[in-house]
This record gives sequence, C-alpha cells and structure tokens, in this order.
Amino acid sequence: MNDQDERFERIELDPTAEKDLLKTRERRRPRRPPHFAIMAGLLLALGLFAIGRTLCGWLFSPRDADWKAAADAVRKAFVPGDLIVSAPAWADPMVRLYMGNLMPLQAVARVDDDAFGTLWEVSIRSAQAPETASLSTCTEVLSGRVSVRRCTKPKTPVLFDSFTQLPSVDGAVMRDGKLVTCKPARDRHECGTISLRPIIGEIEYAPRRCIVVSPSVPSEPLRLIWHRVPAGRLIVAHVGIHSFYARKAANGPVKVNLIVDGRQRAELMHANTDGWRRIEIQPPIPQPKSAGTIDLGLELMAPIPSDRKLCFSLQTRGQAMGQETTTRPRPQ
Amino acid sequence: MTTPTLKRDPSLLIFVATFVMLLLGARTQGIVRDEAYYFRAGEFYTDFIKDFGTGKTFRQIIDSNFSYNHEHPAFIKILFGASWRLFHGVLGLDEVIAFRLPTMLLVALLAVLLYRMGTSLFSQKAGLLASAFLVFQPHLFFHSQLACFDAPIMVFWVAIVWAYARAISSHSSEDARRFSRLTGVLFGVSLGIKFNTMFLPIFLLGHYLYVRLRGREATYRPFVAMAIWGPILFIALWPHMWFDTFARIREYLGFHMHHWHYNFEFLGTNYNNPPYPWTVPWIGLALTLPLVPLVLAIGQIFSLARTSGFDDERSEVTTAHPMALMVLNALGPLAILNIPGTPIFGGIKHFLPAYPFWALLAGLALTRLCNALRRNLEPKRGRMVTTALLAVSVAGPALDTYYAHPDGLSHYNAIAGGFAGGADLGMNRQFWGYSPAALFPWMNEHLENGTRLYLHDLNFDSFRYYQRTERLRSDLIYAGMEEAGVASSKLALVIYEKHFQMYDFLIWQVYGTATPTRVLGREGVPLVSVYER
Repeated sequence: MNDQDERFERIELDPTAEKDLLKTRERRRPRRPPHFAIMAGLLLALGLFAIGRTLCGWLFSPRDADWKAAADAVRKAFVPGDLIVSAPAWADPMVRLYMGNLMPLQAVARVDDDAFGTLWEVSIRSAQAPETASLSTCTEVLSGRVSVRRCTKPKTPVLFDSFTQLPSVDGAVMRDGKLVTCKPARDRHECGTISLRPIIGEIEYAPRRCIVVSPSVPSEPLRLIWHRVPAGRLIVAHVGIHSFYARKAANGPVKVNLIVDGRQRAELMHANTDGWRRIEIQPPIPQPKSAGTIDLGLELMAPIPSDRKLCFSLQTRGQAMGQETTTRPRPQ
Repeated sequence: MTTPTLKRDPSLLIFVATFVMLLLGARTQGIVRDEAYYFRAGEFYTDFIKDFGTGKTFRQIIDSNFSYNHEHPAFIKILFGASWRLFHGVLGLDEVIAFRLPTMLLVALLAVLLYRMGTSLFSQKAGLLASAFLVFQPHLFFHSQLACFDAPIMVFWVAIVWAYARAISSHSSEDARRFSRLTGVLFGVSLGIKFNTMFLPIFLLGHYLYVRLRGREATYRPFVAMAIWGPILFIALWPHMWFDTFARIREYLGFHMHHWHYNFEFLGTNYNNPPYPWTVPWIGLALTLPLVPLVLAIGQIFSLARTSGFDDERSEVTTAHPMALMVLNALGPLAILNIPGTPIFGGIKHFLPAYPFWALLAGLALTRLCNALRRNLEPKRGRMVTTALLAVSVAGPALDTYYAHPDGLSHYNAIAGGFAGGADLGMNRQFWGYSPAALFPWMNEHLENGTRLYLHDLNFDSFRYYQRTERLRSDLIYAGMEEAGVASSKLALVIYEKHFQMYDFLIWQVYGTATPTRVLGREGVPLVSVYER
C-alpha cells in the first residue's frame, strides 16, 4: 500500500456525515438515460435526418439557372479542342444539354484524354471526374450547385487515326485458302462476310469512337494495314468488345496482333472483362527513304467467333520530325 | 397504462385513404412495358365469350383467346380485363385507371389486413402504424398502382400467412377447418397470379415445425388444404392449362426456372450473367425501405431474437408463435433470391411480399417504444415525445413517397441519399420504360404533325395505349426499334439504365450530335434524354 492509500485509510467519518456524503454522490452521479429514451432519441434524429435529406434533395439540387451559369463560365474561356468532363459521370446528359455545342462527338466519344490539353470539369455534389483526379494544375472557375474547374496538362497530338482513315485501309481476310480483299460499301468496308464500320461503340458502358468488326477463326485472320502513315513518337491501339449484348451472349477471347512495317510488334488476347484496353509501343526509327512514315496494321482472329464484336482504334501520336506546335490565344 | 383506442373501427377509412392515394398517383404514373402486355391480355381474356356460336370448338376458343402472354397465369389479367370492361366500357372511366383498379383495391385491402394483424398482435396503434408504413414506401407505392402481378401477389402472400396463422391458432376445430380452407383457397388463387407463392408453403412448414418443436399443438390442415386447393384453383383459373395440362405446366415452370437473366445495375456494376451477388436483395431492401421503419423493424427482429421472444404477450394468436411467422416472412422472400441458380430478375418487386411484414414489425416496434415512453415519462412530456416520434416516423416515409412519385423506382432512402445518392451508389435507375410519360405534355405541344418517334424502351404496346387514352397525340408515329427505328425517326429518346448507354451512343451516331434538346431528371439525375433532328 503506498502513502496515498495510507492517507485515505486514516480518514474517518462519523456515520451521519457518511450518509450525507453518499446522498450527495447519488445526486451528483449522472443518471444514465434508460434504454427506451436512447432509442427514442436516436429514432427522432434518424427521422429528422431522413426528412432533412428529402428536403435538401428537393431544395438544393441544381436548377436551370445553375447549369446556365456553369455553361456561361465555360463558354467565356473555352477554345475548340478543349475537353468538357462531367462529375459524377451520371450527370453527363445534363452537361451535354447545357454545353453540348462545345462537346463535339470526337471529344465526347474520345479514345482517351491524351489529345486534350485543357479539361473543363463540370461537377455537382462536389464530385471529381476521374479524368482530372491526377491533375494538380486545376483552378476553380465557378463554385455553386454546379461547379466548374479548369485543368491543364500536356497534350499529345494525333497524327494518324484509323477511325477517320478507314477508306484508305488495305484489308484482306483468308477465306478457304484464298485472300479476299476489303472493299468500301456505303458506310463501311466489306471483306467477304466480315464488315468494318466506324461507330460510337459502347465499351464497358462508355462511348468510344472505334471501328467495329466481327473477326473470324484463327485459320482465317483478318489483316488490316494502313500504308505510309506518319510515325510520330508513339503507336497507341485500343480494343474493346462493343455492346452489352455481345458481352452477355459470349465470352470468347479475341486475338489482336499489332503489325508495324510488316512485323508483329505486340500481341494480346482480349476478353470481355478487359474493357477498353490500351496497347502502346514506340514506333521503329523510320527508314530514311520512308519520309517519317510507317505501315501500320492489325491482325484479328477469334477462336470462338460467335458474338465477338471487337471495336478498335489505332493511332500514331506525338509530333512528327520537324513539327512545331502553335497555340491559339485563349479568350480573356 | 392504457393505450388509447379509436371508438370506431378505422378499417374503412384505411381502405378509402389508401385507395384514394393510389388512385391519385395512378393518374400520372406512366404505363410500364409489362403492364401494356397485361392490358392487352386482359382485353383478350375477357373477350372469349364472343367466339361461342362461331363454329369454333371449345378448345379453339380457349387456345385462341388465352395463348397470348401464356407465360404467366391468367387470373389477375382476367380481373384487369373485367375491370376495364366494367369501369371503362360501362362507366366511362379512364382506360388505364380501369385496368389498374384491381391492384389498387387489393393493396387497399392489404392496408386493412395489416391494420387488423397489427391490432391482433399488439394494439390498434401498431395496426395503424403498420398500414401507414406499408403505403408510405416509394417502391411499394409505385408497384401498387400498376396492373401487374407484383403487388397482387404480395397481397395474397400476406393473406395466406394471415389465414394460416388463424388456422393453426384457432381454439375451435370449426375455426381451424374454416381458416385452413381459406388458406388453401387463397393459396390456389395466388397461383393464378404469379409463381412467388409456390415458395410460401416451405416457410409455413418451417414455422409449423418450429411451433411443434416448441411443444405447441397446431393443426396440419392448412397444408392439406393448400395441397388440394392449390392445383385445383391453379388450373381452374387459367384456361390455357385446361388442355395439354401437364405439358403446359412443364412449359410454365421451365420458362421461369430457366428464365433469361435481365440486366440489372447494382452498386455500379451491370449484372446480366450469373453469379449475382447474394447481397442484392438485402442491400436492395436496406436502401429502398424508408429509414425509420427499416431501423424499427431491424430493432424489432433483434429484440425478438435476443429475448427468444418470437411470441407476443397480447395476441389472439399467441399459441402460434406469430412473431416467428412474421419474421420468417420478412426474411424469406429475400432469401429465395439467394438460392443458387436463381435467374437475375432485378428489382425489389421480386421480394415485394417481404415489405408488408417489415411494415408490420416496424409498427409493432414503434408502438412498444411509445408505450415505454409513456409509462416512464411524466404524462405531459410522454405525450409530447410520443407525438413527435410518431409524427417524424410517419411524415418522413410519407414525404418520400410523395416526393418520389412518379419516379419511385429511381428513388432510394436516406441511407443512399435519394435520387442522387442512388445514382452515386450505382443503384438501378429504373426499368420498364415508363418515365417518358412526363414528357408527353411537352411532346404534344411542340412536335410537328406526324413526327416519327424512336421511343427506346417504351414499347409499342405502351405507345398504343398512350395514344388510345389520348395521353399522346394520335398523329405521332412509332418509328420502330433498334438502329432502324433511330434512323427513321425525327425525335429519339433514351431511357437511362446502365446497359442502355449504347442507345444514347447510337442516337449520337445517327443524329450526328451528342446534344439533347431536353433531359428529364430528378435531383440532377437524368432519367430520359430527348434528341431532335
């Protein structure tokens, strides 16, 4: 027993004083609220919270004027080639309703964000778009029920895009040991029974400008080549399975070979769950006589071709040799 | 301590109030795609009399009139059709409302039944609260307005449970026989609505075994009655089954056991192939039942489990462990969807029969809490606190139900955060293509004569009824489906569900623009976009 305990031991109270002390303690001790009172309090709080939430949803969701103010804020400094992104993504139709004239299809259904140097993030509910999540160079332009931020990042120009260059494709498919070449027909190219068509594909529920094709079995590969395209500094291919119907109906992989100057440079097996998959390679050093161009292509085949709608994009990016960037002045 | 009771039986008031609320809602509720098929089936099924005397054999008459939409039983569709013939054909009521009346009447009856169950299990207040918590649920309210199967089968599920409880707890053998027979008949009729109640005898049997294991006497007659009346009424109420009976039953069961998997968004993922997360019905319920009744009912279940008190002190049916029965039926319909191999149906409508039991448990819990407060607080303070508690508990769900209409399927409770919170969580936005109805006043006013419309998931049958009932101008033309429909249209709309994004992109491609001219939304959450060429 230490000193302090001994000191307590020595204190003696007369019985009356002890009773009084106990009574005082009893009075001072905080009374624990009964079980039912805690539940009632909790329930009242939850009920008021639920009512408050509904009223807030009613009163504080963005109005027409909020969207118009955001559109005005963007419009003031928007330059063609900028990208508008929505946060959260489900608000995108509202953003397109008010700012659709600033959102061309090639931006809305972009392959990726690399070609855009300025991103306008239009957001509600304090959400942040995944496109701007990693960017530190953002400034707030408007704050309110609908907020606007302007973000900048380095951009990479696209030198060649298969989507716009489909007419110049040199394509062929093997059929019964014979080579069947692709020919233009209306809005597509037809290679025997296989057709190539530029569409706005639905890849994992997102829009992508791509060329859709249903490849055949490995013994009958489809080979697509674009000749003498500007090499740039990077070759970027994207592939995905178009439409939930196809992804629901089948799950066979599609084999994709990336071919540069007649040589296979990359190979992958693409499955439903791979989403919008990116393949990126450095182009070979162009031959002096090629004037900075390469022959670029894909070879596609599907071991189980049923319901395989592969949508692809093939681009070369980065400045070509000797090119310089000029920037249009931004409105003040 | 006495609980104040109403001098008059409020059953009629509950019935009328529920019915009127549903009726007012149904006037502005869009036609859902399945409903349009059932309208049509109702017309066919009640028109077979005209074929007598035309030289057709009886089988030809039955087959020609009942082959349409024969993947579902006929009884409720016959009621829809009969209601339409009487209330529209004879009395001139709006066609859509006339089709929907049987459902609304049944749900109004359910509100009364729940009041009675709550009253017999605990007190009048519990009964009143149970019926209020039943009606004031945005999703349940949505389904309760429609000429579909989900609300009627929910009503019959509860009615069967009630009749069964009365049968096994009856003190006289006469009562036991009477309620057993009623259980069987209700079960048979329910099989004429939808297959859900085929699972119910399993839960009732579970309860019956529980009662017997606890040493109580209980009659097995309800099971005998269900075994007899079930098949008899199932076939009797479905003329399609009168010929090639076994082959057609096999076809019916096969259709639902091997049903294709619907697309359904859950927590941001679109599911259309198994496996389906087992959490779907549980999280679905937790985010659709209004917050206060949800917490109350969960509290009641835990309280019962903790005290092993699946029995109640003041009940006409104390010998039958009624609380065990209620809890079993609050959880059972959700558990069905956890059976491995269950097709992906989507939507809380598939476990809707659980919701009345949650409402009942919530009503009981709140009444108990109020009683405890009044017992333990000074009278004035007790009255004040219980009044506040009751007001807040009922006002929240009522406000949500009013606020969510007519987009009940897009609404989620305060845990999720309403329309916008549900969208943030990636919960299913809607299904059945009913929401464009809110755009019709604008379309009727602004569209040129003969405009061709691509209406996406709003099917042709719904379009036909919208025009027939003058909700949509009769000169507007249905352009068709898929890409051909979009290509030939001058106005196109897309109804937002995660998997329907591709139709948005298809319209952009064909129209050459991603800019809609109108977006119908709630709390900034888009439900429908309209594009014009």
